[in-house]
Amino acid sequence: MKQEIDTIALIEHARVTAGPYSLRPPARLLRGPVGHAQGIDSGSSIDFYDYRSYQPGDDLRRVDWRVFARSDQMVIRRFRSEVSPVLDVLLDGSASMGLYPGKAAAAAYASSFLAGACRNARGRPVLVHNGQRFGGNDFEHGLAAVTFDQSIGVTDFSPPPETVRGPMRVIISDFLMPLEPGFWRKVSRHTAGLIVIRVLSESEREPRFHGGFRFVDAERREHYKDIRVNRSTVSQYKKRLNAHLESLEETWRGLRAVVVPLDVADDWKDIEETGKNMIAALAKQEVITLS
Amino acid sequence: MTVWTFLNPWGFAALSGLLAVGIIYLFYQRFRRKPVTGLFLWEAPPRPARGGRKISTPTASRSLLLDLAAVLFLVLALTAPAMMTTAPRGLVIILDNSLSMRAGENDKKVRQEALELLTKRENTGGTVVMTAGTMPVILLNKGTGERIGDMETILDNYEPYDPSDSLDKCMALADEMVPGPADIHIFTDHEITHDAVASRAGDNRVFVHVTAVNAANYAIVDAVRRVDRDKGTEKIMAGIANFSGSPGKTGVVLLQGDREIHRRWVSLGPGEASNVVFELEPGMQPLGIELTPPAGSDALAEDSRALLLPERGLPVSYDISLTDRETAEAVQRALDACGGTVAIKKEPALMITDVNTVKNPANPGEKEQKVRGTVMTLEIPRAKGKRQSAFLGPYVVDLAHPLCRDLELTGVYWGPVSVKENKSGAVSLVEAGNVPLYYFSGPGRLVLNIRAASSNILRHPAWPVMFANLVQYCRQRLPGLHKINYSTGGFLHWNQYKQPERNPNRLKGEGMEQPLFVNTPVARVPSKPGIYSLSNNNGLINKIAVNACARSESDLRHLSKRTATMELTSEQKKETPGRKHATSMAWIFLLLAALAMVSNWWLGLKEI
Repeated sequence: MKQEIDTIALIEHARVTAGPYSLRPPARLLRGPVGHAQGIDSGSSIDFYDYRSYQPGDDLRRVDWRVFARSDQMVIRRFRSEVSPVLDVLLDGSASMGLYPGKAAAAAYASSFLAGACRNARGRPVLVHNGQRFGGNDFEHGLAAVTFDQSIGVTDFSPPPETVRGPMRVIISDFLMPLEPGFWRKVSRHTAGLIVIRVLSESEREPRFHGGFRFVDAERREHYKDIRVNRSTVSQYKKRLNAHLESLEETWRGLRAVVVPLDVADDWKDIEETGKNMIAALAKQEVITLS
Repeated sequence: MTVWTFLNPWGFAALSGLLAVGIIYLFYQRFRRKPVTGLFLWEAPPRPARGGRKISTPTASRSLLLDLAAVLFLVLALTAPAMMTTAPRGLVIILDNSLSMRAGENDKKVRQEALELLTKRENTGGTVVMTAGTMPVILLNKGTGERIGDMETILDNYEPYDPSDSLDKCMALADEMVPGPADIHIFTDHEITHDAVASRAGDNRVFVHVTAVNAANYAIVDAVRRVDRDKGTEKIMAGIANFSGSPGKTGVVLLQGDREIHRRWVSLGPGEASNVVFELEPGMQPLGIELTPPAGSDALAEDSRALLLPERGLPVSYDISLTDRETAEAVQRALDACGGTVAIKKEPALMITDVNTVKNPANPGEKEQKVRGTVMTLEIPRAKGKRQSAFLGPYVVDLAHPLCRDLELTGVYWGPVSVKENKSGAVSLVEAGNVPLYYFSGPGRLVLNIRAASSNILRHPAWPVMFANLVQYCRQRLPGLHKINYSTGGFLHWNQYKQPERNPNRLKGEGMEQPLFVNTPVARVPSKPGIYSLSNNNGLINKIAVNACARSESDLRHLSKRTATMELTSEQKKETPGRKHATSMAWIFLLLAALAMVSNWWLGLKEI
């Protein structure tokens, strides 16, 4: 029996959990317009950051003349840049994610958590779902409206039209679909950092059913295969799954993406445990820090 | 011949279970709909793209085949499969072992015919030779491993002396002993009717070989040797019969060894019998009786002589230990009158006392011992206390008990020592009202509740009768053999000694030796006349004489009037196939079914 998820409560819980955490800008400087958050590079804020030797072409207004008067050294004063990070959360809200409640819950939890962490870093989370954007306070409303059912059809991961240059981008999905060539190039283009949250349920990792089945594609119901599942077919399935995941991971390594694999149970009772694992993985890869 | 058969063909109805299994598999083979995420990760089985077929036939998977096989084997096991084997026709020879078969050397002729039959049928499946005497005796049973090659030796054991035959029992026994139908050959001199045989024949064919000798015969039908204690003599009594069609005169000779000591002449009409009594001084020598009938009128010599040993007159030892002199004298008088009694002090068979227990004078501290005789104790309690009034009757007497035989208490007034009512359930022999006067207080322990001073029974005729019965009762319970001279076909009885080693365990004589059961005081009287020894491990106990005295067998006039070989069973029996034996083979199919189920389970484990 399919378990109904209390999405609102789950989103709120994840948001509260994200309280002490803030999203850490990626190593590559988020180069946005003047904002509220400190960048990790020098910029035009009033916070002193560092000195460095003058190089031709540097803005003469930043030359520290006092130092030049004392030591005849032309040095440039460096200040922290002030950025306003944007986090695009590309959520796979298709029926394949809703097939097992554990997956849908984990996806919603991760989205809400990252949005909370992004806000803590004075950033702006934007939920991108099925070609629509839900930014600012609409993030949670949009997230709550995700149904993970047939209404979506095939997942559309097309990145939204760029209103902001170089956002961080999180993509949350099971990735159990054949992806078209150039998909990852398109998704990672103009991003300051790519975070991949791969969600797989227990039944997908380790099928425990046997007998004759007509496997129907969760998203495209007209596609099916009649399979007699036994030890051999399960073994072949697992081999193919591993090959598929290895291929994805290789791609992700090439994109220097932060990868967080979330192996969840079929149901969503263990969502807190899943959340803790995710937070630990994000913290380990320095995507979030305790603020 | 071996044939497979199904004893319960209705079990095949369970084959419908195969259909059920097929339907179950149809349902199981239906592909259940299941949405999955990574459809491309599952293998794609080759599916022929054919249109128009809505129902696909179930694939004959190993599992289905094993399930069908298991059901099939279970059904076959349910039908009770069996291997029918037909046993070959056996041969049973029943030899009439009654004394009459010796007339005119009929037994030798029968032995020869039986030998011919056995030789001719040596290779048949089952062969049984038995003698039908008082009891059936099996001489040969090929099935028990005896060698048929020793047939002559085996048939030498055929010595008909028994006073009766047991042809019916032998036929029933033959039917049990031979596995298949048999040809039963009965050699007899008695008349056998078709109906009598047909009811017991079963699947067997019965051939009756009647070889009777209807000749005149004089016979000793009874012979007894007894001591007359009153006269101090010994009597030899012989019952003589004339089983011929004409009157005749026969001499009855009494022999001591080969020496004739008496001769009488007896005239007897046809079928008439008479008793001859010889009176002699008592002696310990064996005595023989022999008839000298007219020539040609004694077809059966074996019943014309008898040998008699002196009978044992076992005295009953007694001891009287009574304080009351009047009573003691009365008891002594009664015992003297009985005869066959002897007074001894040590371990008397009959102890007559007025105390229940006595202390061991050698060891006064020891617990008091009950005073008892080896066979019986009669307690006449001492009179004490106030004299009770005497009973005048009526008395309730258990006349069925041997101790009360011919006991007449009319005119007796009986003064008891105590007038306690019988509440303990003691076996009373004489009662007045509910007051027991003469009763058993325990096994082998009698109480005579009498006060001599107030009773007249001590001088009444009932008094010696009471003691005569008591002595006779004790005598019958004395250990050892009570009778020495027997007729064939009877049983030997003896009372057991308390010491098992004193009991007989062997009967020997006339070329035979028979072990006896130590704890069973009974044995068959040997079928052959003669002198036999009854002994134990310590040596001889008694000699016994066995005589062929059988009135019915000596009368040859009642034997069959014809001499013929007849088949008394129906003609169809000739074609009766051998008896069928069904050996159940269900276990094979149960095993195969179990194997199929285990294989299916193992395959299932492998697939999951």
